[in-house]
Amino acid sequence: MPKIGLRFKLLAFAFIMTNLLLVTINLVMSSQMGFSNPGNRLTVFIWEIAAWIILLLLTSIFSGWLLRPLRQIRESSQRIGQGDFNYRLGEDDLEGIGSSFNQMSSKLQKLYRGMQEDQARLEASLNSINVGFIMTDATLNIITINRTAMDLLGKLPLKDSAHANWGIDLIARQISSEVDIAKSLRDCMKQRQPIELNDIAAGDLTLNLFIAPILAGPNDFGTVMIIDDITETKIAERGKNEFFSIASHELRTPLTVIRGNISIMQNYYAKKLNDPDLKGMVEDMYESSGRLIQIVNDFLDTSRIEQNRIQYILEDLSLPPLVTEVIHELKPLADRKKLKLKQSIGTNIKLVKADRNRIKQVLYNLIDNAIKFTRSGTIKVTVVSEDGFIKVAVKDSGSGVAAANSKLLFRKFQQAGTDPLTRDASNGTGLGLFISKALIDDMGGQIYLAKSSPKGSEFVFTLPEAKRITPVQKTRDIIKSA
Amino acid sequence: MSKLLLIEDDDSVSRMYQRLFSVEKIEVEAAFDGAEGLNKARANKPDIILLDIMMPVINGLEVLRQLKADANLKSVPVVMLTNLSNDEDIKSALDLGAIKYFVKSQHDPAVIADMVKEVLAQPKSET
Repeated sequence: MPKIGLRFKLLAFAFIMTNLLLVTINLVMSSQMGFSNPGNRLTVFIWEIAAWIILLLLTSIFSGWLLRPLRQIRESSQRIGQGDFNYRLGEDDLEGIGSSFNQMSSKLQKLYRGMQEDQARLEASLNSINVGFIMTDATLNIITINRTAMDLLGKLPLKDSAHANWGIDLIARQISSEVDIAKSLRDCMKQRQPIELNDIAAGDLTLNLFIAPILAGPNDFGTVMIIDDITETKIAERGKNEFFSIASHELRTPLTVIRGNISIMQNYYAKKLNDPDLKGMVEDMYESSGRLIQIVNDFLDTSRIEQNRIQYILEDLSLPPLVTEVIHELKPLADRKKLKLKQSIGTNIKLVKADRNRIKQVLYNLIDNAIKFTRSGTIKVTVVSEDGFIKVAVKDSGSGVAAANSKLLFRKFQQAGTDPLTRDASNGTGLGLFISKALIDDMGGQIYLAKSSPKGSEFVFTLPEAKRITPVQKTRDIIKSA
Repeated sequence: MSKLLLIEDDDSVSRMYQRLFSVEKIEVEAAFDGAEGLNKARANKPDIILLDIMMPVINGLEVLRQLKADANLKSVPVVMLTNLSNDEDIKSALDLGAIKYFVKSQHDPAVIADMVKEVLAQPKSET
């Protein structure tokens, strides 16, 4: 109750001053007039009372006059506190305090309007993006949730009947009962690191969640969660993979007939193919149909890799004989280009645990590539034992791999040393290394470009010795041999 | 002359293998679906059976099962020929008693012929 407090103070002040004044007058008058005369004392007393009453009245009026503008300032502050910036003080009160106060009011009003505009812009932006956006404070209360998030949550089958009071725990459970999303939100604040939760199954939808902490100095401030609906993408991906799978199977039958018949012609009807032109044409048809089959195999393998559907038949394998086998199969190709194909097997090569056909496939890919990309010279395949791994190196004398392309070598459809428009179709699909890498990775090994110079390149793959525990394969199925 | 029963539903593929085995002087009987194959096998016991997996009516694995369940036919060696390379099917076929498994698109007919001759040359087992 400041009003009364201030008034009381003023009155008390006036009262004390008055009394002091009167005491002084009393002393002065009594020394002059002498207080022996009772008539004089009464006169003085009456004057004192009168003066006291007059001063009280004056103080009352004065304090009221003083307090009014202060009251107005208080009222104005209260109004601003409630958001009403339009209250203005009269300028003539209190020496410029009024006008300073008015200036402050209008500045605050501008600031507040600025903030409202920013807020409106932020909300409009958040509601226009097509991913869900949820912001929480440090105790996981929801501060902001955009329209897309509300729509997404609306699409999910209701697990709780009440929509009201959708705290983040409720929302997290609504999205997935299998993944503890609320825990991830808390973890990301604790670790001060973003967390990605991918491929969350939520009803009919598939979602990617990205959670990031909001940090202000050393304290937790809250979290931001982005919800990305990837359902359509997943469907498209699955469709694409199934297409490749079905197409590849369908293509194999007619290709088998073409190549098989040509092979029969070459093997059993050679006499009737005496004409060199005829023989040449038949030879070309045989080779082309073989290439087609290889392309179909590559597509099929790639689509299986993407769908995590490759299965391995693992056995204890000795690599050197496989190398010899593949070199033998590819020798005619090397001979045609007048390239030398050599092998060098180290001592004490232990067995590896791997799929025979798939290792042959990788060897074939690397040696065939070496032949393709070497114009003259030698291709050397070495097998050595190194630190519990068996290391196979394929070294060629080609022109090496350009540095810019070396990072892309093991990705799909990449052909080292060519740009997309000048790709040499006779060099295959560009899937070979991608497939080889997936196979070797799955079998617990590594594959990489070890060396590259204008004098040639060296590709290496390693596999762990059979006695070592093979690292856990991804989600691909493994069949152990009977 | 050795007898080979070929159970394969695709016309051109069947013709191709028939051609192959005729130049290899191996007698070929062709069936175009599983039921026909089983009938022909029972009527005229072959020395070796080449069996496709993906077929209409009854698929190859089911035919294999029935062949191995037949007291008379279970000793006949069966080689699976297919263009599918699902490893589960390989394992099933081998488990059910097929002696070998070939992916047609991966092997020249001559190789298949050599393999057949090798199997035929083996003394017949009575398991």
